[in-house]
Amino acid sequence: MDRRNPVSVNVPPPGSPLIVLGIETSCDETAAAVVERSADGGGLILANVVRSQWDEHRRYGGVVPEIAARAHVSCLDILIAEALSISGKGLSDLSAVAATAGPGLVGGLVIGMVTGKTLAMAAGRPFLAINHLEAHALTVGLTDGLRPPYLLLLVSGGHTQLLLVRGVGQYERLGTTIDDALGEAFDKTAKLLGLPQPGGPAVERMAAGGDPRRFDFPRPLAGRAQAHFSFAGLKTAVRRRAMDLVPLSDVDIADLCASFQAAAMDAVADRVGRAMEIAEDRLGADASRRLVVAGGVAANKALRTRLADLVAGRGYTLHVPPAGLCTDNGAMIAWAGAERLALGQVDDLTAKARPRWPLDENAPPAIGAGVKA
Amino acid sequence: MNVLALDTCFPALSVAVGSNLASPRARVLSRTEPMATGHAERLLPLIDELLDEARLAVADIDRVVVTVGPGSFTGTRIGIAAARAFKLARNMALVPITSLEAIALSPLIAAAPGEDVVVAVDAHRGEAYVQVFDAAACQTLGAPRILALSDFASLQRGRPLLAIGTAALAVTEAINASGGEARAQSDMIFPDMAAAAIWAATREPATAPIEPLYLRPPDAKPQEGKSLERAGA
Repeated sequence: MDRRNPVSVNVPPPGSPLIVLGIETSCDETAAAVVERSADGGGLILANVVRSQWDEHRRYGGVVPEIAARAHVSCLDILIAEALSISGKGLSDLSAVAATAGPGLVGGLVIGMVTGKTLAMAAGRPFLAINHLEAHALTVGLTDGLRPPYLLLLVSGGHTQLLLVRGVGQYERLGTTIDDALGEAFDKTAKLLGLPQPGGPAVERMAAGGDPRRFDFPRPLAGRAQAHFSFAGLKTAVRRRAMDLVPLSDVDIADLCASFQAAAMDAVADRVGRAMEIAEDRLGADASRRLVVAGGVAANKALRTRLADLVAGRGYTLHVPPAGLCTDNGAMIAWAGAERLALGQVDDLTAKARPRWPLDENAPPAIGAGVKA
Repeated sequence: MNVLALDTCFPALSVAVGSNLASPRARVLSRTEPMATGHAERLLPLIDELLDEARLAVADIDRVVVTVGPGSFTGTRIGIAAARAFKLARNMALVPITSLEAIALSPLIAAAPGEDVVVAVDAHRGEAYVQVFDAAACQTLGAPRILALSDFASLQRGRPLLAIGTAALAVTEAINASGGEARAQSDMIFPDMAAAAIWAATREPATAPIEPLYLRPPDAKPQEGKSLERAGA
């Protein structure tokens, strides 16, 4: 039998309010949320539940993919049931089901996608395969009602990118890291200094009591024409200085953290400043002077402070979603799904998980970049 | 009773839809598609095609039988995730079956009178997933387990054995070398989900959430310290 449209689904008519279930399983957080998008484009979170697996991974010093996948499959349906119950909605109230399709760990992605596809099929609703980075990029629409265009700094354990967000599905990568992500640099520094994981908050806590001027660490790529990042050299510089000081006192550790964080933030601010110029160039007269920060590292207070100084000097406004919506969550996946559904976009049940899925597939490789760029 | 049967544990995708089971109008449709990967992309469309052929809607399905492993870790989770989502969506009853028992249900297995059946699937690293069945009584003679090559001979407990599966030859050789009596049926036999659908119609559904049967811990070693020495530590 020839059936070109294998699963019949009810796609809502344009302009209707949308209720979307979002599923996130790309790394070590299992998450589900229900989000409503009103006809005028406003967003409301009806439920947002996240289960962190960190306790299961802690003794391995990082996320173990097989452990993550085992944890996801054991609790995802329970979290979805909880999210639906909190939202007061049933499956039949949903307009669509959205799940993260990438980038991320394939074992987890597959679980979220199969679960999402099955729910979509059982409910007779469209399925949406969501790019996790796009979800981070669009979160300010949900939290602040901010619409593109804007400049986005996406900072997480796995990504450090500057993107010009022109619209839903329209992303231009202005810069990326050529080696480590910013979050990764924090994690590795924490590990080096014997601080607990996740390393970002631990380094930030120690830095608060340290002297940021005791060590003069490099500000990688500062002043370069392209808006790329590099953190590997900074990480090595911290290691060299720390090894000279062994055994490390608490003051040494605090000063190393503070000096590292100051250097990293200076480098970020320099690169974001450069990206602002490129964005203004590309957008021309209607350049909107708005900087959005998303991703797990956006919770870092030193980063917010440093960027607040930068935007003030450049006539920009700074938009950072609340911490719980910067780290991995289902609400951003549901929201990205709602935004795409509002444009009439849906995916079918053959959609594949995409462990690597750049937001700007046309971006040229950054010179000297490793595989992560 | 209408039963949906799913298997994603091995390099094949098997789906069956049994309608009006346990009645004279019983009918089972099934499809097995060999594939190394891609189960997660093909599973839902294949279910939809079979439901359509059976003239059933998702809402007509009363229970789902799913292989819970052992098998490929990722593959096993695909079937379980789908089954748990069907339960969440439509409150369908779930009936777990081990992948090895679903193989043992195959009518392609030609056990001689007095023979027990051992299903033995290569688990790599010199090990196999094994489970023994009383073929005549259609009963398991123990839970599935993982067994090293050097212990294969221990599978025999008196009666002659018919070994099935990708490790059947290795099991047979080990048993015969130690003075036992075994023969191998070396055709590739995947779980028979048509038979599993009929089997599940008369079983008690699970009362707790169904979980994968991995039989092996995840590959992960606690990390050795890479931190620098601290003063006073």
